[in-house]
Amino acid sequence: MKKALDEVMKDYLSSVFRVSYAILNDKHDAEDIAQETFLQYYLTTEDFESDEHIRRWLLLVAVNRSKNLVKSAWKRKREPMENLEEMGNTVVFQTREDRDLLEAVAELPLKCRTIIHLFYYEEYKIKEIAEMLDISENTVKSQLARGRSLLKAKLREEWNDE
Amino acid sequence: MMNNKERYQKAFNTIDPSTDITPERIMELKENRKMTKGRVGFRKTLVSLVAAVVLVIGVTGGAYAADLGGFRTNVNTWLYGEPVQVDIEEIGEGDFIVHYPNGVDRQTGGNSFDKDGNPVPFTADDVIDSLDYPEIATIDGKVIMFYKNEQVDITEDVKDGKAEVTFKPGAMKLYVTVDWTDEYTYSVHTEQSLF
Repeated sequence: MKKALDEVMKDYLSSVFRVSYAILNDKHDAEDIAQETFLQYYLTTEDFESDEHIRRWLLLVAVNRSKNLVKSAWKRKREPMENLEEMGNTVVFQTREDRDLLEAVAELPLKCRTIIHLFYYEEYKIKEIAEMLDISENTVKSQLARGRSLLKAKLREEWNDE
Repeated sequence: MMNNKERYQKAFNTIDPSTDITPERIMELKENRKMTKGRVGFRKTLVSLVAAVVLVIGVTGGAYAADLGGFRTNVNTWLYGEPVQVDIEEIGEGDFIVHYPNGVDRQTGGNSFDKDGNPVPFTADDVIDSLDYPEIATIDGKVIMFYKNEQVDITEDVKDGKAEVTFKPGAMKLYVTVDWTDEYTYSVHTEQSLF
């Protein structure tokens, strides 16, 4: 049940872009990854079983492409703060807390960023993240704990104890 | 009071992709990919098992500070099959410019990764190690891969924006994967063995 590209982009473009942004901390790179991900969707012969299957497939492609880009080590000469400011008119942070949280996520180790985002933004369970990323549940739990601890240290009262 | 999940989602909901990313744009990308397959890459990604570096090729006409770090001169390497000597200038942490004698400068920036996956900025020695990775160029409609002073026509190996090539320079066997990201960008992944 492969759905039309425009329908899939309407439903998942934001999610694909945001998971890429969580990993890359670069709006332009995240947009590139989103475009490549949807092109790959258009070209794939994958036999999708459900909407959820499509969603997971897209997120996984975006995650893998984003990680590859990080590991290819292309570093734009741009600091996180500059990057956020560069978004200019397209982003209006309602609060300083929103901005602080994005910066804190950007400073997490690479392994943590993906897991934290899939858990907190996409609301996947630990078992589901382990299946998606083909890692053990214990690894997901330990990376989640590490990420939470680092976010708490960075954000202090802006991040609750769990 | 919001819980962590609500707080996280609220923060990420403030960032949106460009409205230029549309199904029509994806179709354009697909068509462009067809037409530009195999064109010269201006940026190439070089990946080894533990380290990676990306080179951005471009003519730099502007001035740059010469006192920002180490400067390696007369490093022997190859440029599209020709032996050349280059100078390597460090312009920032992990960022370098490689100056070629024909006036072309390549900017390179990169990290290696420690055992925890944390990035470690490249050194000049890492850049020197990366200089001899294969280069790709399109000449008279043919896609040519250069490796040191050797070259091979890989036109027939290019399929769907990728090429997988086994190359045997001397006693060494080189397994090369070229992956074009867009019309200006390709990645070169290599593995090598002695046989």
